[in-house]
Amino acid sequence: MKKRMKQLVSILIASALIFSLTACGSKSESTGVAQDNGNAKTAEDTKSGGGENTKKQDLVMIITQATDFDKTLEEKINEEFGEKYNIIFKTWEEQSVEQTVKTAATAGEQIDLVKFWPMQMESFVSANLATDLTGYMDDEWKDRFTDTNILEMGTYDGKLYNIPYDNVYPAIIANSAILAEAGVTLPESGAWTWAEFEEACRTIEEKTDAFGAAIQKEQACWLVRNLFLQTWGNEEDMNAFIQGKVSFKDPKIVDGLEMIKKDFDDGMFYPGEGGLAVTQDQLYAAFSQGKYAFMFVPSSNVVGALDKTGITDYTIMDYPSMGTSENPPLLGGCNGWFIPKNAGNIEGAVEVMKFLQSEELSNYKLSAGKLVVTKAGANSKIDMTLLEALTRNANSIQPKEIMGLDAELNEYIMNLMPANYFNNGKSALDELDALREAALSR
Amino acid sequence: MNINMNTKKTPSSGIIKKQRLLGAAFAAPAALLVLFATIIPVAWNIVLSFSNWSIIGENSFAGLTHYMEVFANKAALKTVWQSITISLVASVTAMILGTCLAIMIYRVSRLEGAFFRFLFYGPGMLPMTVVGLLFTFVLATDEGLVNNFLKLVGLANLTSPWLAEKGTVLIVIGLVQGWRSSGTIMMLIYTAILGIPESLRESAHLDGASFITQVRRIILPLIRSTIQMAFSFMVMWAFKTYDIVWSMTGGGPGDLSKTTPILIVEQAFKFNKFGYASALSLVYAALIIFVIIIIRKGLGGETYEY
Amino acid sequence: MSIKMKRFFARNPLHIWVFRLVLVVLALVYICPILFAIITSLKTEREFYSNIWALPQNIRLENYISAFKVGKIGEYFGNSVIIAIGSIIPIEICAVLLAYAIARLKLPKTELILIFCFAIQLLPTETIIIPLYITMSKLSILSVPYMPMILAYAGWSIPGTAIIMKNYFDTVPSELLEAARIDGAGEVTTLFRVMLPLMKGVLATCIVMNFTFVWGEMMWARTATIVTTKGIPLTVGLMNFKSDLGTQWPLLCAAICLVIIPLYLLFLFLQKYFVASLTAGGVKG
Repeated sequence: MKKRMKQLVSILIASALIFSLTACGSKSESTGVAQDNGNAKTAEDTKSGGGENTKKQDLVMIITQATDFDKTLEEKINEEFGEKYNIIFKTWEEQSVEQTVKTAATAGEQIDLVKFWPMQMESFVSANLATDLTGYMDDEWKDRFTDTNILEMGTYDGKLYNIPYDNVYPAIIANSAILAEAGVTLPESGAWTWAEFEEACRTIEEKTDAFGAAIQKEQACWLVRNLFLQTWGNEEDMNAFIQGKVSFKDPKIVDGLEMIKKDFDDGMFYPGEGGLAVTQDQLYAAFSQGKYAFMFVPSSNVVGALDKTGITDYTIMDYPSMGTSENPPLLGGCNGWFIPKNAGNIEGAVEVMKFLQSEELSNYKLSAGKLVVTKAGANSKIDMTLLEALTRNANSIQPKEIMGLDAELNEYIMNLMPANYFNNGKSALDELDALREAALSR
Repeated sequence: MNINMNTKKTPSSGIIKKQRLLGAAFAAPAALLVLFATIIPVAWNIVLSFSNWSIIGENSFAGLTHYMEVFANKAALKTVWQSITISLVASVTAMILGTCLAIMIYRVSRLEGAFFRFLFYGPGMLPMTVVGLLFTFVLATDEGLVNNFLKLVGLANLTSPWLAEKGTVLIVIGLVQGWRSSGTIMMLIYTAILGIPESLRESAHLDGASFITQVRRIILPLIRSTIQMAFSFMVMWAFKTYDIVWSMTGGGPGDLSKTTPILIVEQAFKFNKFGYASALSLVYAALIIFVIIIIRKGLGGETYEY
Repeated sequence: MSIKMKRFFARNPLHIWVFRLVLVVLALVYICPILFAIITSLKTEREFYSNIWALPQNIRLENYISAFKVGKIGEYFGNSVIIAIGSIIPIEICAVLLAYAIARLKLPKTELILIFCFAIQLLPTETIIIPLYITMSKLSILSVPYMPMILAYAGWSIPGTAIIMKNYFDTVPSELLEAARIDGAGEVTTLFRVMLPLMKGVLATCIVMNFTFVWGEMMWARTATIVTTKGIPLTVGLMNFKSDLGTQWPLLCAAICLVIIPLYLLFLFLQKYFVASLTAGGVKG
């Protein structure tokens, strides 16, 4: 028995060694990082002194993901700053980035630059976890923005905490082949009304096998958020609502929600039952197979979605108006960066931001379908029709929504609507009202 | 013999002291690790649950407000109920599947058994998030494997949006989780069955007992303590999971499948309510202990020496 | 029926065939995800979206190469293995010593303490990670690769494992131990010569449980590696294939296959030793 145990142990050790060889690259590097990370703390101390330590200062950034586009961005950043700083990229993940940054903050671990949405900074600002960037935004940098009003999005209490770099708002890709088959024509200019949109979807369902539209479960809240903005028909009422002065049980809201519910119950959204549980992969797969005509997609993902699904016969359509006004306001926002309080290298982070918003890089991003908010100059590589289609509504974006009142309200509307209304009816509205009143009383 | 009796009944204090020292030495490394990784964080949490900490900011004493909030908050209680449902479905599934598999593998020949064993343990080696993502494909309403299979065998009216409907989402998540853990349970039960001497079974066989009777009368009772232990661990794991629910539904649609761990993370990291999150997790842990105690009482715990 | 056939049916009565059938059906169900992963890993992304369940048109290995080189799967796998082995060995050793100390060495009140520690383990990981993170950060352990994970996993698993072992020790007839004591064996020798050989089954059980936990743990692994890019295990590394543009399924599946297939082989290989040692006279009876 002892011999067997010995054999077992020796095999375990052998396998460990074998696998360690594959990881031996990481092993030799790991001793390197032990020193580097040790430096991360000391770097903070010598930052102001400057020039004393010969090792490069760390620059930890959580701004990229595992896409080809982001990989090229990383390469460019490395090219530009690799000599000066020890650059560390960590993968950005939408679901966990907030948790990651806050956990690191509790221990004072260094994170210098994080991608986050300017409109959602409340939970960082209120906990004093974001660095005030007002002082770093000099005139030269301000000049690069096509419209400096966009900086309002990242400003809280007069201080700038988050620098926007990309525009994002809902877009719709229409499968032209299906439309042709059903005999549906898109409006010449402007958007349909929601009723016209429903009519078109019905025609498509009658004349073809396809469903009318499809929306990803994480974006189902768009329907509700746009309703909240558009159903009023005039700016005054809309602003009153945004400030939280109007109850969620207002008839206009209830009617609108009932309208959306009916659309789902009628099977307007792929795949009929379960229209609220569609994942992004299912969305793309079904679109690629022509199972529905209208795909709701963020404007920044349009190019990616077209690439993955391989659909070439398409049109970009405007979000249908859920209210009565001619130029309905649209929900929209930006992607942006902020510097957490536990940063160790603020100068480096600012340099990277400025670099990424230079004309050259804005140009590059634009050609990849990213709707930058900075000036990009002329470029023949950009598909102008696509660009025009994606940007023609940029002026309608209404940055402040009722969600911005309070973090819990934000969470409820973003993640629990419209599902909670469909499942629980009026009690969901009661919960929303409770949150609204709690937010107002603070 | 007299001396031996003495040693047994009244050992001299010197031997006891030596034993104790040795015991302390044996226990020391474990004690250090456990202290570091478990006791200190938990103590910290307990303290936190009575305060109003939010990372960088004021820290004030909150008394029992967080605990009262836990019980008063309908949303929190809803998540607890949902956690219980998923965990129990998962635990029962894993135990039944695992035990049946173990028994069947035990009975077929050695070679086949080995082959099946590693096939069944396979899913347990995939990370939970990956399993969750894979199953969103299997359970998809339109393209999913399950619905397509049902259509194929003519049961089209049973198809349903598994992950979108109030009645089915919790059960389905529990089934997936149970399925994934069944491999581990199978291994545990199997190693326990192997510990039963062949002679016991053979004498029963000679007495004319069929295999099923042997299972009921001999194997199951003898491994009862293992079953109980496996069930306790399974319940504990099931209650704690976050990853598989998150990757399958994100807590949705709405908050239909939001479990308490998800709520804890949300309260702590989205809303900076760390004190409340700590209180919630302590109450939740107390609940798990309660459930496990009930299980242990229910399954009994005699160990047979054999 | 000839004698041979009679013997064959005696040795393989009906219920074994039923079992075999059920096992095969279940095996197909269990292997489905792996099959799906294999099939998807051989497709391009567009091919995948155009028909999720179809067989691939060509066999293309570029996803595997890409997952290995760009996705760094080899590195993550190696890290996971190191963390697994590095955790399991201390866990088993400490647990055995601890369990023996409680069962035989008459440490006072320790059983209660052990149950208490086990109960504490029930606290959801999410709340434990912050204080642990802060502690490790202050002690600068976070910068050492692997150690944050190993220390945490060991500390979390030891109480449960020790309880299992202690329960097992209690079932060993005391006569055996007394006999050893009479023969003049000290405690340490008793542990190694008498207990350990008997414990193989329990040890195998515990290793299986601990491995499953350590291998699949993600929340702490992700937290502990927030600011480094070294020492990242699979559970965290595989999530890199997700982005808000969508999960790169073919790549992810190639990565999964790269992980599962050697694991399967390793498991198959080790099983012979586990089972052989369990049934070859090491177990009492």
